[in-house]
Amino acid sequence: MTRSILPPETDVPQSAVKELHALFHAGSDAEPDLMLDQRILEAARADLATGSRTQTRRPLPWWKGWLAPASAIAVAALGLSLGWHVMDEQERDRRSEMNTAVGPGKAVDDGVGRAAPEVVTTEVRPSINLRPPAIQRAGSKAVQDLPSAEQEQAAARVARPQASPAASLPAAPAEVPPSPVTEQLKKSVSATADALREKRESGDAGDAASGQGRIEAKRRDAGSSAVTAADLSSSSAASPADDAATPEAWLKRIRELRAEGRNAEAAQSLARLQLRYPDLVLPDDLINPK
Amino acid sequence: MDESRTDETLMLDYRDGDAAAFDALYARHRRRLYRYLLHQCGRRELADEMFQEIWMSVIRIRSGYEVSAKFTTWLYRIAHNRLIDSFRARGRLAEFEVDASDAEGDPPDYPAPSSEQPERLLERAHLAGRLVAAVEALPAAQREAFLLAAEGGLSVEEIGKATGTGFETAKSRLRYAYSRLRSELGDLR
Repeated sequence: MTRSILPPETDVPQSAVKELHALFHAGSDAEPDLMLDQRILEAARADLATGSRTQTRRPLPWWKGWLAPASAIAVAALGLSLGWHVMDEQERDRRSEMNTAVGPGKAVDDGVGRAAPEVVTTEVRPSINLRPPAIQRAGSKAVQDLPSAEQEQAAARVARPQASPAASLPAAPAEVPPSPVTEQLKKSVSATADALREKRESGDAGDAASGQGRIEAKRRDAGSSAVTAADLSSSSAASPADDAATPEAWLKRIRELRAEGRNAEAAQSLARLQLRYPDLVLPDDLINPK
Repeated sequence: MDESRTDETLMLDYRDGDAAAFDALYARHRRRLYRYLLHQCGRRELADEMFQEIWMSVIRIRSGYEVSAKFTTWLYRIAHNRLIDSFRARGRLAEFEVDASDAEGDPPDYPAPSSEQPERLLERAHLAGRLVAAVEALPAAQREAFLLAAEGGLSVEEIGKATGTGFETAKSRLRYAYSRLRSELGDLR
């Protein structure tokens, strides 16, 4: 095999480089002893004979390949279910409020084309105060469409509870307590929003740190700043700040990234780890399916 | 037969069960890798230990080996990592710390080789000994760059990859190393 010659980027005459290399080889004849050679060659053959007990990449079990699609389907189903729950709850609330707000009356339309029952009742639920303005407007319009006698009656039904709900109702609560489902949904939505906000903030911080790392690496590579021992030992000239100095810490960081769902970042970090430690045997949980 | 196969092919063949491929690969790189380690750590027993560990790593990785880089770059990357670990364990990592070559700018203007006298060139053995001594006197990072070029046959870019530094840093270290060595051996052109 021919010895490669230093490329011209070093600005050193090729003849000098060649001569230096040749001289160096002439003056440096050290080599491993035969016993050492023997041990290594035997180990190589033994590894072939015993098979690959220490595989670095084992194929994943077949069922693990279904994990990602199954998770995606589960998340989609959960989202649909939640959405349906919310819509259903809202619809029920709206109907309930309409019924109690407009009250049953044969000519009173509830705004969706359905006539209210004929039985007139004086019972008015306090939730009438919570009617949205749109429903109130719908109720008023429906009243306007009635014949005059009925208009008065209906108007009285609509106006009565607004005027003095407490007069006709004993110890009514000021507000209708929200249903348990609504409360749960509110909590869930709030928790999700908090989690997303935190994730976004941490992501921003990570990006900033990563950007800083890139700037540092560029500056160092340009030779404008000193290279420290830590830089050399971690060989992080091209690595973002999130890569740890030791393989163990690095693996831990990758697991954290995966746990946070930042799979792309985890994959990039894993690639850098393998570049930095080519002989590192990856743990099973970090081996990617092929 | 093995001369026709690249290092990467040999490693792939070894992965697939060809023991002779490993023998050929080992024969190709044993001296160079050993000298790289010996000149970097300066102690034969330590060089032996690291040398064995590195090849054991190659054997261990066999079943999962894929060509992701030139074999020599990959091999010397493993060796570099072992050296760093060794320096760290012995509390000598500082030797890899900043050296002049990492600073911006050109290397100092060392005097050019003084002559081409034939009679001086006959003293090659003597010169070679001086060169080896000069190499061992280089700062660790410059010495490593020189050894990777001289023993590993790595290009500047490959040295940058093997040591985890950028192209410019590797180039700078190499320039300083050559400049110093030429200065030490003023007789050499």
